Amino acid sequence: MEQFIQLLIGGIAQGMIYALVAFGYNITFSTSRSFNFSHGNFLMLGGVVGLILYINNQIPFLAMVLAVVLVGLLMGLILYKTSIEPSLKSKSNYAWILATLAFGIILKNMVEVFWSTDDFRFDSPLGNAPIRVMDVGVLPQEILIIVVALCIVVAVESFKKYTIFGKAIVAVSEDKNTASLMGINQQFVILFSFLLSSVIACLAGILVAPITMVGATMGTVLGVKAYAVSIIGGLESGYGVLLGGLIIGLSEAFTARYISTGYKDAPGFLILILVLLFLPSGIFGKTVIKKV
Amino acid sequence: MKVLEIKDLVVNYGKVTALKGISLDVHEGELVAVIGSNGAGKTTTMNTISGLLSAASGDVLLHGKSISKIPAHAVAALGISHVPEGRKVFASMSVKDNLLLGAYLRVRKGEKKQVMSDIDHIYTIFPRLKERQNQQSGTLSGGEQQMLALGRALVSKPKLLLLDEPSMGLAPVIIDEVFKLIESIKQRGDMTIFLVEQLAYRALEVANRAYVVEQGRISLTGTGKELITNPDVRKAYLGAGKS
Amino acid sequence: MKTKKIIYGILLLIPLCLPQVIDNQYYIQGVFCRIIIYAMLVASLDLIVGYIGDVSIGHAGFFAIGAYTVGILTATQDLNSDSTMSWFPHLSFFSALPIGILLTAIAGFVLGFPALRLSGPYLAVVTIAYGMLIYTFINEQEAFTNGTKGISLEPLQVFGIKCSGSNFLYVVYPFLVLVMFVVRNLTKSYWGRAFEAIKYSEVAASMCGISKSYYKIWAFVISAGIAGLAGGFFSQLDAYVAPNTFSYNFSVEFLIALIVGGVQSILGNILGASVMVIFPDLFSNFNDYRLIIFGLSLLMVLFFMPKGLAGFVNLVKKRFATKQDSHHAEALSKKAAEVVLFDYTNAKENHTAVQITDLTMRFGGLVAVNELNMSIKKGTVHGLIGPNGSGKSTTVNLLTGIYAPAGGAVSLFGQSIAGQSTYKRAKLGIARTFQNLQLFSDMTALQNVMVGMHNSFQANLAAVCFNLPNAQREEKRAEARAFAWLQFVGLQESAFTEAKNLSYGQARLLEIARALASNPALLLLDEPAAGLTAGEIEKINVLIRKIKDSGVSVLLIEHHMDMVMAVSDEVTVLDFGKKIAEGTPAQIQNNPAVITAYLGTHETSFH
Repeated sequence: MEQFIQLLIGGIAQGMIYALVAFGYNITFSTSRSFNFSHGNFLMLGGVVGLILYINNQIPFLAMVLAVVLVGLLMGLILYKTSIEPSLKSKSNYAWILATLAFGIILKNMVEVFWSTDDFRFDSPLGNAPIRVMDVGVLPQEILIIVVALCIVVAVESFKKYTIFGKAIVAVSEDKNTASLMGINQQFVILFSFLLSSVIACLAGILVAPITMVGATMGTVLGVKAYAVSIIGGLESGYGVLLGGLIIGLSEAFTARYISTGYKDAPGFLILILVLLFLPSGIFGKTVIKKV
Repeated sequence: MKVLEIKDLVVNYGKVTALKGISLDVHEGELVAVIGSNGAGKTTTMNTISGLLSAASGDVLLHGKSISKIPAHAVAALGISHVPEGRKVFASMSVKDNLLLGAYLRVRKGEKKQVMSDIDHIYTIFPRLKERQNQQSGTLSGGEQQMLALGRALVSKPKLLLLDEPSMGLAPVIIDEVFKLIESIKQRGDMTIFLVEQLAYRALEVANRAYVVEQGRISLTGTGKELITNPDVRKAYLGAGKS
Repeated sequence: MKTKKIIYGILLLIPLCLPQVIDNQYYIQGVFCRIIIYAMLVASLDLIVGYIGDVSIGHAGFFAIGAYTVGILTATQDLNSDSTMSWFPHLSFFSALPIGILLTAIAGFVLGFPALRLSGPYLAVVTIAYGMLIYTFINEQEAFTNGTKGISLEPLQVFGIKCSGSNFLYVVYPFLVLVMFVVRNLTKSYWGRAFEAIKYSEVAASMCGISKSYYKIWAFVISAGIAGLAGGFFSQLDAYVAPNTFSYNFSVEFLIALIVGGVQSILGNILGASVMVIFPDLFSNFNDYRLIIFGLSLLMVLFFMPKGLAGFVNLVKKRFATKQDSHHAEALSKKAAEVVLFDYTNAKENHTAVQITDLTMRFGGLVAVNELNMSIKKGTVHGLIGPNGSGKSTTVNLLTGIYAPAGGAVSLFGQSIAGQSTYKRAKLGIARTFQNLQLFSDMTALQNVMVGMHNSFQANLAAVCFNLPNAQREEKRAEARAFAWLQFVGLQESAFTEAKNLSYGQARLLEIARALASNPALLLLDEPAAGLTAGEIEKINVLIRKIKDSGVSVLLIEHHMDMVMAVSDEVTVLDFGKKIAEGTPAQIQNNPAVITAYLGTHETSFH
């Protein structure tokens, strides 16, 4: 029982990391019908910058977090200017997939060349001693991940729901032209969505760092699994990522424990394929009738 | 004084020339209508004014200043409010949020309080909207959506109101209601209105002046009263015929 | 023509001489053979990305299935101690290879199904999932694949002759030629045109009689099969296969190689594969930066040279093409003179072409078409008009099977067509043009018309892939016939112009030619006059009369009243989905209900 609860919490924490990365896909997909296919590498960059500043240079934790946010903003801007904006202008409808893949490859390779190809430990500021609650030991970092991830998702969704700029984002997602008739600058909204999603990915990097290792490859598989999370929940749904994250995170934790560690990735992808076969726009997605 | 002036406007959709040189003007406080059958170029004219389309040549002037190179969101900031064809309410959002977004620029400027009382005023004009203020606007009927689209445009306090096919897809009774509203907005006299409409007689009844477009060109112009009895208007719609 | 073939033949033989010239096994095997294998994989990816237009980031998975199947079946227990290789039959390479291809093709078949319903990022993510699942399987399933240790193989021998080292080139090169030959024939045939048609417009393709499911699934099967073949050879390249080769990154790199080389081009496939292999070698000092440079070049290609490296070469080739085209056009026009258009073998006796009974369509609460009754007489032009949103387009979409009606029936020459899918209705004799043009923009006018003739092609897949005489004859006949259709609408001068470069008026005519090419009994013209000048409209009027005189029934949806009145025998008017009037053009023009529908009511208007 004890072990079951530990597994449950570990799986949820892992799932929330996926949910955060997936949330980044959803934010930009709804405004621009595109997302960063190398989002996982933004997460990696957040982890690496965090490691360099906090572990190697002993900069205070909150200062480090602020620096990571700035890095996220900067990377979001560069990504938008070099890959997204030209792709949205081009006629090809898959240019953005390739462009963001290319961007991610460049980013990852740069980290390898200019920093390191090794993986490093990142000790949690909350320490590694499990908190014991009724005989169940839980890592404080896992609790932190769950709390922070939920806070970020709820904060962004509330922002969209209750503020005028947030409503403008929803309006752009729904109908760009009509939104611009309201005086909403759609380009800026799209740029904003990419900045926001990049910052969230970089923050997810520091969140996940203590339970994985930090290195140039840490984001690839994470980013790929987050596609699954995002699509299972529905690319255009906000809170859907939380459910998607739980499904993938828990299936992974339980497969690793009861079947084999090597197969932990398999159920998530199987679920993805099944969901798409039966619900092509995900569990919370909207189906759109195409007019001819 | 001319509020809006269009000079030799040519607009292409890809390879199609939708407007082949249109010139018209709208004076302060007037209601000017553009009528014509489907595909004549009415909506294209409208979308070019509001910046959704760009002109191949010619110019659009607002109070004498060119706005043809300005993007749509900046045109909106100049005091033009465009009620698009097919209403285009933000279907997933509540009635209230739609109205709020209509006043997006005013709220960003910090006039939120004033906007809220304007929205209350809109509710007095359209009591149905108040009843449904928290309902998703996609669930409204066509007529209610048209009211919402009108209300959304009004809360921005425009100087120039562009109305694109307000009758489209509505039942005749509802069309009556919509045109009564347009008439009452006109009577208030604080807005210049530019109306594009397929239902010629309806538009001509409320319009001070009107232009008839055919195949991307203006074929006829006159006051509403003149045109309503002019048989050429009918020919513009149903062809010259053999009779 | 013959000298050209001989020159090509000699060029094709040159690579076989390389081992004689370059006495360096590393270059021949490690570089050259690798390029050859990768080029096959890139070509297989091109079928999906270039021709079908879907992004696949999982081709490494197909490659892995081919490599592992051949690897497992050719491995010996001696080289792989502690493994289970003895469980499997030990086969020679050339017996194992077909099994590898078959298994990979089956995997492609399985991936084809989600590809039918998904597109864009959804499908891309599913391909990633497939790739990852396959990777996980080979990594973990030690019982079959020897896990992370990989499988070591004996040096390749064919009929007792040692084929490893430089000799490997002699084995693998002919297969590259074969793969490229097949891909070229396939993509230049009616199959390739069907692939591209689906890419540009699924609706237009189905109106040409193309079943999307059939062709898309086959494309995945063929693509996977080729990837499996390449994988089979890959297992012998280093005589060793291990799982980490076939990772997600490998799929991404191949995608980059394809785009950088240039899609829809054999040359581009080879160039892309070469860049991928040679690059790290050429700049070994910069090897660490390999992926940075790879990524940058992909961004460059994407935004500045969308046709990739092969695009440059084709620019040079195009300079010579115009001359060839004019020769070709001359030859075609001679043959076209003998073609009989409107050749109805299935002439219908029935007097009524289309009978619509109580047809109803709802969208949510909106009744778009309300109990419509209407019949189109054989060999007449029937106008269908009405204000915006009156249900005309919905009626067309109901007739063509794009929407399923909520009620009512449609019959074509007395035969019910309820429940038939769009492409089947096309086969039964319904063709249409589109309000917003749906041409296959990168294909020439001639090719567009040939897509319209899709149903007349009979050569089977094998005949097409190997360009057998019957496929060649059929293609030539179709070309001549397509040219005759272009002459019919007056576009013969533009036969070799890409559709995207036609003027708007020409494009409208081309859509009519493409629709006619399917030999329809009923032609639906959806706003053929939209955006045209008066002169162009007159041309279309003449054309419509010619079509009618040839016995085809025409349903004309149009806002341009002068045109409707000039060419229609009978006109039906819709408003709010209901029929409000029907009769001759003159009756319609003076019908009060019609005038109200179009212009509205007014106290003074009917005095």
